[in-house]
Amino acid sequence: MRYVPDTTGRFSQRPHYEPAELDKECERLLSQFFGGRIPLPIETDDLARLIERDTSDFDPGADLSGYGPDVEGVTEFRPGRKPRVRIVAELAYDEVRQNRYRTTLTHEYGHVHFHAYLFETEPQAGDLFNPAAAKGGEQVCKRDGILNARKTDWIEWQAGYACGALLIPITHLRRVVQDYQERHRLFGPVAFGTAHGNALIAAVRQELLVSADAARVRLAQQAFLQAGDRGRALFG
Amino acid sequence: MADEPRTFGTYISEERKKKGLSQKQLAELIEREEGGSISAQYLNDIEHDRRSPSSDHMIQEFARVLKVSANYLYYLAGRMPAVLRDANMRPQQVDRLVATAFRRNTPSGRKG
Repeated sequence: MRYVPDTTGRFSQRPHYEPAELDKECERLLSQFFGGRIPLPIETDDLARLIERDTSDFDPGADLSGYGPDVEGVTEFRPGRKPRVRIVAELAYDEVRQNRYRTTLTHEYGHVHFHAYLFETEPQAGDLFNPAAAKGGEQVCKRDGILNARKTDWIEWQAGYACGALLIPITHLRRVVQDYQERHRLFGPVAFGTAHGNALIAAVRQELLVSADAARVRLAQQAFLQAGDRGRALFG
Repeated sequence: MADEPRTFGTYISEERKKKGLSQKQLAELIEREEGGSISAQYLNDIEHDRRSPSSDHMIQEFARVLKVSANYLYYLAGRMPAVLRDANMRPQQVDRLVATAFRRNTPSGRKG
């Protein structure tokens, strides 16, 4: 990690992580939390416990309608205190939306783990010219950016990457892909939209209790899934 | 920064975390009067003071499972324990009880 100027204007400088650094840190913190081996898939209750450990308050039943219709999580940073995380009530207690809840939970935890100290050292003043905007110390996370935020917004991108790295730890992802490739005599990346591409996504989904979107994004991030006809069987 | 005032919800949350329980685990341990356990969502609402414990039974259950004082939970919930409620006290008795409790428990009334 190194510090670079923050062109978004939030901070004077911001941390720049290489993806491998985020992967390594996420595996380290999970391993520390579980006291060694990471039990996979990670249970939702354990994720809630992790976030509760590092926040002053975690509310998975919040009403966030005041932030807009597509906001699913808010992390609030307050100087001198641990962050406060709120997740929209529609996710946590709906069995059908458990994958979305898990991605939102880990995304917000990404903010807690990787960004809280920044707000501590440079408290945010808020947007005085736009009272409707989020308060200075709040990170408001919209549905579309939870998993795969644009790289132009570094803080959301890092939290989105952490979300994938926590739910689908890199070591385990490599093992799932390697097992699949060996079983099917594949070599190199698999193409999107092919039978193997879909089966690989299904394998990750099944083993790690994530949505197809999360599996697809994570596989693509690591270049295990690629566009076009680049994934071919080694022996026919 | 001054501490926020303790509420029924924040106290339940503190004690739950002290015991290493998740909301889901605690909710499964709290039995409803009519049978079955409370939901994690209901517990989360209680912990965030969006709802109050619905009955004496609920307060007793929290006290039993978390091994905390039921009287203190009644106090935080703004309710009176049944033993006092059912005592059929006269106004003077209530005044005396409150005055005694106040004298003994406020910093100015505490004897050194």
